[in-house]
Amino acid sequence: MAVKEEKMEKSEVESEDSNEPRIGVFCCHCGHNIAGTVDVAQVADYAKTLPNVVKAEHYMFMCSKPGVQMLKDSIKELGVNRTVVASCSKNQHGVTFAKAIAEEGINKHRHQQVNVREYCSWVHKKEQEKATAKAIRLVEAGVNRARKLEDVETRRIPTTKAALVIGAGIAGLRASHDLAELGIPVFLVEKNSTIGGHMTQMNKTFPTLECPQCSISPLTNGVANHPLIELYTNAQVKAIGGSMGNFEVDIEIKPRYVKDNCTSCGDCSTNCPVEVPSEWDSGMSMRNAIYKAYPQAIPATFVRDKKNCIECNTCVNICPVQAVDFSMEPETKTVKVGSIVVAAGYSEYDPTEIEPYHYGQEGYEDVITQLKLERMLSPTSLTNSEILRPSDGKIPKSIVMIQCVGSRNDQVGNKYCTGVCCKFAIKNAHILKDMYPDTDVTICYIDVRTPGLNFEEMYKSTQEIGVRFIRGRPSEIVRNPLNGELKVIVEDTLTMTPLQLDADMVVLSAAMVPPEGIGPLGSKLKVLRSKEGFLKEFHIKMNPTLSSKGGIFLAGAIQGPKDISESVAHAGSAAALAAAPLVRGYIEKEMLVPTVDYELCVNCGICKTICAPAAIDIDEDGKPIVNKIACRSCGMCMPSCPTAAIQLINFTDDQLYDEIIAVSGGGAVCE
Amino acid sequence: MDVKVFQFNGCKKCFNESLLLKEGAKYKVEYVSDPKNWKGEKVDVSVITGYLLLGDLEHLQNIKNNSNKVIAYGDCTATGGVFALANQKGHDVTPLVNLIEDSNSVHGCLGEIEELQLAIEGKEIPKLKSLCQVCSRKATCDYLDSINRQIELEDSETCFNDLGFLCSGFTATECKEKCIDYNTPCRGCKPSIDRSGIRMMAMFGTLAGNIEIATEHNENGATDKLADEDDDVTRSLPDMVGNFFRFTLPTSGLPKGRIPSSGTLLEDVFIGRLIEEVPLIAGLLGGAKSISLTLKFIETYEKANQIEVSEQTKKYREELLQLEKELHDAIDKEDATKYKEITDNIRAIAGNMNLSNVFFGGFKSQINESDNFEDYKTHIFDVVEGTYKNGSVEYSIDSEGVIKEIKITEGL
Amino acid sequence: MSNCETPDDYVKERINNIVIFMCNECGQGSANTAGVARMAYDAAIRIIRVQCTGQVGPIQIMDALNNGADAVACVGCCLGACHFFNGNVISMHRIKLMKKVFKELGYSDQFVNQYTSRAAEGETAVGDFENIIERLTTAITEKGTIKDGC
Repeated sequence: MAVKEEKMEKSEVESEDSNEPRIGVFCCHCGHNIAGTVDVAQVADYAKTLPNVVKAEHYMFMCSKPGVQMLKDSIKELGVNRTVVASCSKNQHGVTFAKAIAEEGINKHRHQQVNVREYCSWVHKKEQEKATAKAIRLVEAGVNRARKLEDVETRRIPTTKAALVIGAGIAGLRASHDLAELGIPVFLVEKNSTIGGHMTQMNKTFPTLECPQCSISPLTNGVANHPLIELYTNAQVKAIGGSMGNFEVDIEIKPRYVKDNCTSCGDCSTNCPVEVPSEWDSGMSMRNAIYKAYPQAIPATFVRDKKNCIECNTCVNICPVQAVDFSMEPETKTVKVGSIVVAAGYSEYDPTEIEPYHYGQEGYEDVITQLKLERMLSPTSLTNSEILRPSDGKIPKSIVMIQCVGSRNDQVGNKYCTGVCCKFAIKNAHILKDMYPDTDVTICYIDVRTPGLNFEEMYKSTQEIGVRFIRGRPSEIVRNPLNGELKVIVEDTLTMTPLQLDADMVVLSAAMVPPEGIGPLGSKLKVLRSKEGFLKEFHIKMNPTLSSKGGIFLAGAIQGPKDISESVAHAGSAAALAAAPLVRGYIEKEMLVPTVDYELCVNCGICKTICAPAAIDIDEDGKPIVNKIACRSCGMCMPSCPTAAIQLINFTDDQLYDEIIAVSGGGAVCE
Repeated sequence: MDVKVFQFNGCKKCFNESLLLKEGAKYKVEYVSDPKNWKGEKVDVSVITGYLLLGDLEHLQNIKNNSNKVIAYGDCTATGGVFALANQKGHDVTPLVNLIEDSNSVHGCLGEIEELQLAIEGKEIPKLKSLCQVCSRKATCDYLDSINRQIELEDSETCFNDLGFLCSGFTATECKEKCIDYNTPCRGCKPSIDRSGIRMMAMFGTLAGNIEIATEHNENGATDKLADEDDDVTRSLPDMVGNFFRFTLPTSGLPKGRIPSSGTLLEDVFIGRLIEEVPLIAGLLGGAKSISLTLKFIETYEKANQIEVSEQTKKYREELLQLEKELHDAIDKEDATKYKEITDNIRAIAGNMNLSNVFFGGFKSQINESDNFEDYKTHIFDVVEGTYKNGSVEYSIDSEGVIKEIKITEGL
Repeated sequence: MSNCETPDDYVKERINNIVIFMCNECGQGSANTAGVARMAYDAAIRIIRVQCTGQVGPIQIMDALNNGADAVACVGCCLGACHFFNGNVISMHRIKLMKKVFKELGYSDQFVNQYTSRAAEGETAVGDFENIIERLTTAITEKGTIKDGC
């Protein structure tokens, strides 16, 4: 299935310009900025003496129109084919001069910018002699570099106008919708049998206490019915090949065993003899072996759980439209897309490893997580929205919530603050206290973090209705073996009082952690992961929705814990970035890529290991192949190679050596 | 054509090997073991063996003026060799090319006689593959979890470097001695590229990229910087000079060493080396006495630390010592045929003339026709601080296993 | 020692060429910002712009030291912020090994260093430069330069 990549032989980038280098050096005064400290004329005079320099002069403002014209004239009149301008930084005017020489037919990469302003004249104002000597060194280094510069092609690569979105939670739905509205066909792949993700499992969302099923419903329906969105549920991405603008993805679709003509009447489920705890309901209700995850699930088609099915065939026989088909096989579909948006969401931290809290142990059934609480509160729950203790079905007289379970912890779980648990614990505490005014509701916290509009108000109002806040991290939940009563041991650090709180029910505010299956998915995508395990963004401030690899974007909690509004905003940004190259129709990329000398290569594979955007692959013969589109021109592969077989164009060992000896003054020290 | 072989300083391993030039008698060969007192007569090809000091220049000039061609045979002459590790302590072992510009070089420790023959006859040495390409192990070069000084080998397919065990095969050329075949990682006696030690250091540093490294706060400017304190990375490589630059220190690009000398040049070679590398180093520079020297190092350590050695191992070691005696005999008589026969027998037990197979506790790999060899195939032993003495060899190692003091009283 | 009257003179005479490899992102960014703010630093500091400090290897560093540089340093992005994921960390590992080799040869390990800086803060670059000179001064005073005693 692999997309064919070309082996880049060294000869491909051999310079077409076999003429001798003719270098033009231009030293800028920049008014007083440079000339006030550096003797610009002296620098230009020195440059004249260097080999291959056919023109060296100085001028007041090189970036001005006449200044730029000097470069152009030297190309036209003297056959200059490489230019060096000693002036400001490359970021400032490097592009100006590069563009100018391109207009005269010289490849824009044959310009070398030497910074004698920010790096020299502006910082050595009091040492004019030394500054001039340093500028001379820097200009010689620039000339040495210019001498061996090669043409670099800027390639236009047409993109495939389609996108893949992995995950159909709130972020994935938003991203799909936004992409489709831009006219881009979307393949939306969801691992579960229903779309909507964790948001649909919630009872109410903060701070407005709206029903999330209602909020999300226009979006889920919009996505399910959108003409440009193809939805695959019960499906996972199996393999990804290609690079940005042109990916080829294999999607594996697990069989539902129920055909599309299912009317969602539910007869099969009602008559199914098998009952197992519902995963979607966090174990708070039972489902059958043939089921729909929840009443409003989209797609509405039922699904069969083959593992628990006893194959009594009741459903097959009873279905009024003969939709049940046990013979369905897994399918693989291959799609071609230009961008990939990863919206695989998160999982709730499993507090089992925190032994003192005894989560999941016998006798401690009343220790639950916030997600389970949401399911209990939900209108379709087994408990009819009542809060009942799992152990005996009674309404709890005291509820204790414990914050930062699996977050902000150096010993177990994770070091980070999830940033969402305070808000939803307060929301749930508010709801519980409203439902059961006589029940004691206590929240044990370390810090209460409720930034943003409306959340402080929610916090205050929750305190006002009588929810108790205790500042302390509970050390243990103990159980009286005689009567099964639970107590939460915590020290109130504000009053410095040790407490034993009665707790008919304990709710753990568990962290948001990377979703199950993130490891294999990350390696298929070949993107980098942060040390906490989430997918790493390109730049935490400037680009939080791009992954480490071009063409792959991150939407929602897969990049780090966030709430629904943050996920939606994040997904919108990912969709916009993903759409850009597709709407434009092409990607423009400078082929500043490495070449491999296969004679020197010893097939060790270290270049593949070190390449962060996974742009180097090793073929069956052990030879490295560079994906020119994924390469980000960092050059890290070069010193890693034991035989210097891989070299980045215009940054080769040879070219860097020339620059180094000029800067360091030349002349060997020891042998 | 006539050839003269001149032995300058060192262990004479290559000088002895050049006896094989007499086999087949293609040209007249004479051996000069005292070049300083050589009168000087016209000769077609002069082969130089042994390491060179700056003071040898005039004798080399004498040889050069009388020869049509000068060839450096073996690493000591070609790049400085193991003896050049003494340069770490200020000695000035120099490669031949730095003293006589117009000369050829045959690399290797032991230098390969076939390559020497080609050089003498003026033929070009064919382009060889890299050592990795002929090694049975295959590298993946993933990031390492740790750097290991000793490893238990469980298969013959995983590259040493993938196990965190430095092997310089990436920068080495295909060779005859093939230490890697005896579960001993390559230390680069036939480099395939200039400054191979530094390149290998760059590569290994890259592989170690995931191992925690010490950083500290930079007070000026309030950012982080690399810290100077020891950390997991430096602690697991206590002897970088000895392991990365074992044969090429003078040509490595590094400045000359300034550690104070502790004794003779030979003793200076050993100071700072690691105990687990000592058997190989002693094997490399013991020449015709390499077997007894290596076994002296090993047996005193085994005895002091109660390392069990099987009867079969003792028998093989006895055999080696016997072969060493016969070797002296053959060399004294300049008997090339006998020399070949004996060295073949030595290689059958010790692996190669560097004695790569000889180790603490036994041998590193299978010796043919031995029963129950698994009993004494060993790779890992405990590093115990202390002083060890055995006849003419006395050495002390610290708790890291680094040789701190050494006295070798018998001349080599 | 030449005609130097004080140890300070001795040191000053010996620090006149320090090669700094600065990465394309934060490294040269911070030097640029320092320039724009006209922050002054020693004229011995010479900057070579590379793509990433991960592109700089011991070969480049030895080339600089063997051709006239008194010290070499790499300045890259802050830990965890490398635009190419871990180039700065890899460079740190290589430089740590170089330091060890210098120490084993009896030299000070202060001739090569790796620093980080922030593109928007010129004082981080200047702070790094000052630290380099500080360390080099200590090294020269204690153990001499790389060139002495060759």
